[in-house]
Amino acid sequence: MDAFQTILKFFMNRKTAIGYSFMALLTMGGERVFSLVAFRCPCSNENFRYGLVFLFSPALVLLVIGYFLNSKTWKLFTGCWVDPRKIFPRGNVCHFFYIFGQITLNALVAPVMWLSVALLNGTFYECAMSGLKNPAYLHAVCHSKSEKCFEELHKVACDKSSLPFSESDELRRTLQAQSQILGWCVIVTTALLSLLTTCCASCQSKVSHLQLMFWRVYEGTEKEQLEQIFQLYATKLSERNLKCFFENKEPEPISLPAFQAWEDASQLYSFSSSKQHYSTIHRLVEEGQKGSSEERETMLDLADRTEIP
Amino acid sequence: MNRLHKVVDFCIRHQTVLGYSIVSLLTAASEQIFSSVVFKCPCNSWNMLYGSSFLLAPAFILLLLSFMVNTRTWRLLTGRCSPEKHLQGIPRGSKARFCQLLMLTTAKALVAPVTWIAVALLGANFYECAASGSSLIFHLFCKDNVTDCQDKLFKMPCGKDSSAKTPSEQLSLQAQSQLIGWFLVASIMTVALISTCVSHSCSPVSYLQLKFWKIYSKKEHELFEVKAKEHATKLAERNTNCFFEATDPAPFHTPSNEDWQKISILYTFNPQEQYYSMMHKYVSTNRGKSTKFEEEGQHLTVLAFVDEAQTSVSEF
Repeated sequence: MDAFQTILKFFMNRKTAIGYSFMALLTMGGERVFSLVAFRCPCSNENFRYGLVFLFSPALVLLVIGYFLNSKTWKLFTGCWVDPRKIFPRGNVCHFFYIFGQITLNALVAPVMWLSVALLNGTFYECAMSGLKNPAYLHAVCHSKSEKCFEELHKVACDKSSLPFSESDELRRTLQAQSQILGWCVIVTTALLSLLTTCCASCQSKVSHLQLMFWRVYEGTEKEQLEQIFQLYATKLSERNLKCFFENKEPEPISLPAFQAWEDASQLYSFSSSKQHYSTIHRLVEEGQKGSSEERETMLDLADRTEIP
Repeated sequence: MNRLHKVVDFCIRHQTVLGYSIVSLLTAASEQIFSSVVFKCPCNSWNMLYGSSFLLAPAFILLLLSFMVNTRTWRLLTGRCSPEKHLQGIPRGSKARFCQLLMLTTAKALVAPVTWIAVALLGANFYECAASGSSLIFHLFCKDNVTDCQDKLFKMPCGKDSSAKTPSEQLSLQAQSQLIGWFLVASIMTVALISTCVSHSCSPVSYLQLKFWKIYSKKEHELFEVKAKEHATKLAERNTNCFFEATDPAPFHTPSNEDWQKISILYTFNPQEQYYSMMHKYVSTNRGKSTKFEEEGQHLTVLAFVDEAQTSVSEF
């Protein structure tokens, strides 16, 4: 039992890395399935559109799913139509764009993974670019090939052209090589950008390293505690209500937070360097439950990235 | 059950070595997969770019990933450019310490990329493709200016051309690749051995004390995790209860921002005192208030493990 606990703890500790690896494997599997089962290059003038659709629509779908699954999206948008002041608070208009930018960056992980895997495979790009009718591009690709190359490039992906085998094979290899080089460029650029942004954010952090570590632990724990206390109070309240309904009695009072308290607690947390509050609820509890709208500096909110709302 | 327990204990004790071995095995396996499934040398003027991108891009990505995963990177960087005055108040001489630790972090992060490059070179596919497109090899092999020599050279990795000259050149390129691979492995190992020997021989701390120190560091980090979780649970409970019951919060002591900052400073060794970590120094010098806390020490490479928190919560 102890051994299992240790093994479980080991995997739980690395759940971010395991999560990302799982997502990468899933993307690779999905891409394989798509390209084997669903993708049939039309080998006509529609190649370009077909290839691009297969390349970018799954990326778009993954981006939308990424937005949906991030709980910060819902924290940001809930009630914003009713009270636009929530997302554009006085004196801090950039707050919305800053948070939205963070959410977008998080949501972009899956689409970029899809794009890089699809480009490394080469099938979609090959199909798309063999249908590109740009004269400069055709000239570059069909450089030292026969005249037929210009008209029959779009048939090369299905091996249906009348070009000699060596030529069509070389054309396919060139297109796949371009696709794979592009794929590596995408991966390298993304990795570099994400390291640089994380370094910048870390560098400008207003708290020290160990405190940041404690903060992450606190956020996780507070989330668990909130879940538990929601369950507890929901059970208490519903029990009381149903009991009173069935037994036709007067309800005994149960204290629950007021509407304004819920509103205040649902705000996205902004760090204030003079205080030492680890979350919105912590600040509310320490400063009393009033709508505090003093000047606040925003900081990378460490809360969750992928949580089902 | 007992045997499983023994196996798990063994794994935990040797987790660094096992970790590195697994990383190397994974790199070798993915190189094989890439080489056989994904890699198709285009056999024309794109050879050089294609081969080098397969050789170097994964190495670069592994380097970036290793930086991101290494906790020392974040310990070094957090708060460096912060507008907060107290975080910027870095003691004298720590720029040298910063550079030293950055170099150590880079050296550790280089393991995976170098493994990739070595395995890829030993496999020879990527180098063969890249070299057949390089102008240096062209000048080496096409000395006699035979027509179509360039073309034959490009098509060599695809094994298309059946002229008698080609196979020996292909073997020659593969041999070059493997030689470079072995040379890389041997030189990296030698450099690693020499640098470890040098850092250990310059250590003012004895062998047994160093062993104890490593164990102490590990234990302190483990306990930090446990205590942090406990403390966070108590604080979160208090806050959520007060929120729901609309009561006033009971006073709860949590370390201040300054306290956290004091224990996050990079560790320096002072032979006069016997502090095994910044936290040890902090609690022994009246919570960092005594002047002894400000005293600078030496930056020792052999003690770099003190700042390397191997806790789980430091993941990105």
